[in-house]
Amino acid sequence: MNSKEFLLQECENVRATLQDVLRHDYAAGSSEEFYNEFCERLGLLESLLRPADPSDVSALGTFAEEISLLSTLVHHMERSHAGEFPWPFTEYLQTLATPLCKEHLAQNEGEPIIRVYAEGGLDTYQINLENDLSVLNVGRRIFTIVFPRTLRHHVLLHAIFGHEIGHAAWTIPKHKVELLDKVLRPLRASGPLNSTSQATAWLRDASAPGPIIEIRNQYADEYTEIKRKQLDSWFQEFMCDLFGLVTFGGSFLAAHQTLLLALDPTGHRWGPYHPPYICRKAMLWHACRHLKWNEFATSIKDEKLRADIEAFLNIYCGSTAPGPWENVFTEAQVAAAVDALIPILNAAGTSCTSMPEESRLLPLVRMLKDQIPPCGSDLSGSDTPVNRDVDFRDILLAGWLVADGSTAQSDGREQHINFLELNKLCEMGLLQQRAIDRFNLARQGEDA
Amino acid sequence: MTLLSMYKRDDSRTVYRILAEQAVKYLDHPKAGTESKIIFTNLARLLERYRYDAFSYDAAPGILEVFKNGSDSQPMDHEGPGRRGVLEVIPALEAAHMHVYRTLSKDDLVSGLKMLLAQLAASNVPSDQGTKDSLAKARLFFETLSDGLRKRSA
Repeated sequence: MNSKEFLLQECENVRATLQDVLRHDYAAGSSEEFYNEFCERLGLLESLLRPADPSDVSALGTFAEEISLLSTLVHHMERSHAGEFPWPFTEYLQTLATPLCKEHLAQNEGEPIIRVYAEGGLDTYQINLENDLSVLNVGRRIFTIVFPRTLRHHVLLHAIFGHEIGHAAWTIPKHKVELLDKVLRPLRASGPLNSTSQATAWLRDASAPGPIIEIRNQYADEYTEIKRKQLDSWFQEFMCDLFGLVTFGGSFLAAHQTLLLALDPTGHRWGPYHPPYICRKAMLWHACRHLKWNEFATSIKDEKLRADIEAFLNIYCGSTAPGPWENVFTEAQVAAAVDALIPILNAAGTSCTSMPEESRLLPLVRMLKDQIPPCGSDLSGSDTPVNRDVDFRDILLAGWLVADGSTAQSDGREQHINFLELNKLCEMGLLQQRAIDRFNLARQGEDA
Repeated sequence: MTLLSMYKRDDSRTVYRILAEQAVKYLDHPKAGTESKIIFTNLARLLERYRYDAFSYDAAPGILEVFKNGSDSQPMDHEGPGRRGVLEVIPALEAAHMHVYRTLSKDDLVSGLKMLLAQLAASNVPSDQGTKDSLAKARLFFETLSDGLRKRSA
């Protein structure tokens, strides 16, 4: 059997695996789209492979690579069981990410196909928009959302996906150019990260915080020498954090801090892709001030809610200005980046959010404290219930406010709701709100 | 250990040579269907990258990547050894651009070709002389591109 014959046989094997995999239960909605896209890719590969010259090793190498990619894809789908991830959250996430990931290649272009799977530990949160560079057979791009398996119900932590939306947008050439010019340019214009040599000097600064000095001492000098690609990656991370902030609002701040500090409790470690967390938090502190979130609590009349918001912002935004070393951007730089990012997202059709009005937030917080899934359900018992539209991001913020606050019991004592239970309540709230949204949308269609 | 360890090869020249050859084939013998649609879609993606000079792999790390200890702690090479192949597609595109469209701007070249490819994919190509001329130029562009990439592969 020569290479070409083997590859044709492998196409058959991959097709048979796909048929086998589809016997199982997968996420509602996109299985048919996935199946069609997959079959089209496989069909194209076979049609190119059949007439190929068996001595064209270059082409055969390419076909082998592409068939292997298809095999990997079907394997990922196999791990994409509907019961293993929070699909109501995922559907909301799609509404934010899909408009940004359209490629605008043709007028009747199909949208990306969203797949979800759960794997690995805490560090697996990821949106993977498959590479479209140097591939033969991609029709609609497949966009994979990866959750840690153990956190499938933790919708409050999933606000971290706001950051990942930024990475997904970055893969679209048109967005990338605009983001480089309008969002990253102001951030890169000045400050200690202005160049690799300045960044290296900053990292080696004698006045750096103690944990930085301690980490520096653990590694050879080469780790404190910032390379160009490394600095580019760091800026992409800063930009993605701003994506998270404006697309998910306050809940992003909490998820960001909780997850990042869980893996790096010092908050000072850096890597080839990521800057130290304390610098990211410093940037978000400026962004929150620019968005006037620091004044949000003063607009709240309900005393308990006001106290909860103040506590929340103190924990996740910070009550004092960042230290001089980690304060790598000025407020003006961050403001310019935020002000540029919001219209880019709005133009693409991705809605931004900010702190909600008290009238939107308070009912959700009260429902949660009564251990009722927070959503716009009319619980009056009326024969003609009027369910409200609720932004899913307000549900997440309410969840975090209750997570970090406490709830008064009938006997006057205060009690915290277990974090997992709180997440499950919010997940259920998202599910019910999704149903309300669909019902309201259908009714609007009938009225029109 | 995996079955075989190899340096990652870059397929860009071969991939875009195959796609350009297929485009010429479909321009000579238009045929609506999934295969031509996928070929034209991937060429439109290449043209978008050419327009914005965005030839890089964008595999983002998970958000929680941290500086690992031990042998994994070396700063990673983002591009890898395969990047050279992608970069060699660019001069082949520029040469085809110059050979066929001369002074036409990148923006106009890409917009025009994308529109034509979309019409071809939808089997909705007008039959006027202007469109015929555009199709002939597009054919020459993809032929020059595939020739250029074949020479670079040799």
